[in-house]
Amino acid sequence: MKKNVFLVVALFLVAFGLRFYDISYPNFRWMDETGHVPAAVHYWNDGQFEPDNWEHPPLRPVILYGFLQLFGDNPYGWRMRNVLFGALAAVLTGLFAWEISGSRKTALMAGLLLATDPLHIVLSRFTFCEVYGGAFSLAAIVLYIKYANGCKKHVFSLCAGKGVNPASSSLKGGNGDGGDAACTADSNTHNILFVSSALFAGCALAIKWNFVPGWILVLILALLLNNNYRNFKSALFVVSVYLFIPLSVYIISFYPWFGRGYSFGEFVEFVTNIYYSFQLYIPQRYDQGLVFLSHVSAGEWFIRPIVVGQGTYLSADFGEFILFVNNLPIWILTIPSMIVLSVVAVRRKTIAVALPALFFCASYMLFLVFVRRPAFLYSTAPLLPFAFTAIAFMITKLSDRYGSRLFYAVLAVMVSWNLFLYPLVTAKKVPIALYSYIINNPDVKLH
Amino acid sequence: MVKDTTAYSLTATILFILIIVMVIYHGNKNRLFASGTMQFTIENPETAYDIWKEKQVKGRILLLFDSYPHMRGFYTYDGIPRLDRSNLVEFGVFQNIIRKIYFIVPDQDWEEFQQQETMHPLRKASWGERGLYLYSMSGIPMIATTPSSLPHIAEEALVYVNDQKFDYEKTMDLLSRKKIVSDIIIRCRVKGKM
Repeated sequence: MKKNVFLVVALFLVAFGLRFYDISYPNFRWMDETGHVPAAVHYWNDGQFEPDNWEHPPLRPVILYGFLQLFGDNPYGWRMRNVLFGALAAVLTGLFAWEISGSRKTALMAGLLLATDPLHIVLSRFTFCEVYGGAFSLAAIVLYIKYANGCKKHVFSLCAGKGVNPASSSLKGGNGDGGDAACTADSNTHNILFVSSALFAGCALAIKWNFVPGWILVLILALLLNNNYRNFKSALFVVSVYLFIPLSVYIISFYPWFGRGYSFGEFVEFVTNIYYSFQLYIPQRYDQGLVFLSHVSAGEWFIRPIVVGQGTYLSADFGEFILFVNNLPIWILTIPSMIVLSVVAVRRKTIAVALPALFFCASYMLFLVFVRRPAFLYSTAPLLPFAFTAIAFMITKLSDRYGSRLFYAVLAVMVSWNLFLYPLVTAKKVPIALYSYIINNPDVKLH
Repeated sequence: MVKDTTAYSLTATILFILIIVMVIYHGNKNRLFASGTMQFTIENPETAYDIWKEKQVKGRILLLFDSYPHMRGFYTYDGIPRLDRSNLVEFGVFQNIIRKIYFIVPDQDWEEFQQQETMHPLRKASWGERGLYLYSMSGIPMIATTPSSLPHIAEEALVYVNDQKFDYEKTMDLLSRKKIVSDIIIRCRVKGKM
């Protein structure tokens, strides 16, 4: 228990420290901050979205307004929201990996990979909504898994560390009769976990539609759990809680907007317009100076190096950069790890091990198949917890076979590599020679 | 503590309904109308804003009988913009006087209007052949339609008529036929080119 608490605290401190260090630089509103910060005030005071996009749900400006009140209209007020939720995302990644694997090593590696990931760090130092939206979504998933783990009969093979035999349960779950609503009626605490999960899912939905697949997937899993869908009372519980609570959060986030005189019918009309407006988003409609425009396909995220950002050459030898990188030496392990995870899940006939792959695929498919708008690199942030959990799971399994030294060696190399990139991506003064093979790559897009 | 799942289901459902009732009430409360029907004739578009302000209307539907509204939006917004003769509509939106716009295009100009490069249609309106939701920077619902396709509007609307573009008497007749009631009708007789 003490070790677990230590792990959580250590992950938070590492992640928070890397995100918070020198957060006041640059001391002016950078990139999207020029729109997000005034939009937060505008939305809170007048229910208006400008100068931010009106297509995204408005819990974003509400939260930012809170942080502006707390820290003031300065770099801390603009950025502490992401710093905090970015650090919490690392902890939640560790918890997610722990719930899936029951292994402290897997949890440590997954959490550390997110805590030190260069892209997640950069996004956590500005106002990108994928960071806190991703944290809310992950919190919803972790709470759901905890809820599912607490059930008498469940479809998951759970953590070995909790004394449950992974091979003892199956996808069919329980007796298959679905008659006693075991998971929903026997423990008030577990029900509260489910309600809390719904609440966080609602927060994620009220930040970006990107989190819809995760929400729907949890709803489906909850219906499958103990065959809840076969029992009217259980199905009603799952559906009412996991539909109405998230939708309530979504609607309430529009409260300032309704204050402009809108009716509920006009809300439906507005949401419909949002959908259609997203269909108009094509690369030509963006400001052509936008650095992300050089890579607009989600298919590249985990297989091809992507480096975009802003650079300033301070002298012939030194420069400072804010870079968005997909850190391919580590990320390239994602797809193989997902395959390994899926194979293990099928062999063990357990869905729990497959959860990172399921959530990863659900979110990734959104960009690969359903979304017509350009898929910019920052949209990967909510996928990373599942990617790193899969990678950590695979490496832990390999180390179980080849010795624990392998695990620590790989972990040390990965974290060292991430930390090596840290000054390069976070606007620290760096020697150009040290990073020239990255900066001078012809595919790198710098502005 | 609640143990029965039915109680959770009921609570979630009631919460959902309560929130809908709450936002509907909030919206209704912030829709302000002037008493009776008033007609004004102005010579500068921006004077319309002063009238709306003076009559303390808020959260309203605007029937705009004019050329394509000036809905550039405020990407560089950082504070309150200045009202001028080219931004009456977006300023009215900005000040929350206007929440929705029916932008009226003469029937004979409809085809040509649809070809305009500056117009980004989002979707067709469900109620008529000639009804298009247009994209705007502020996200305000803005529906382009023609006099013949203009639907009945259940609540009192603000009406603004540029009589260089629309015949005022015919417009009043149209409103009467469509049973559209307005508390403030503004007729703009602009001198010189806008």
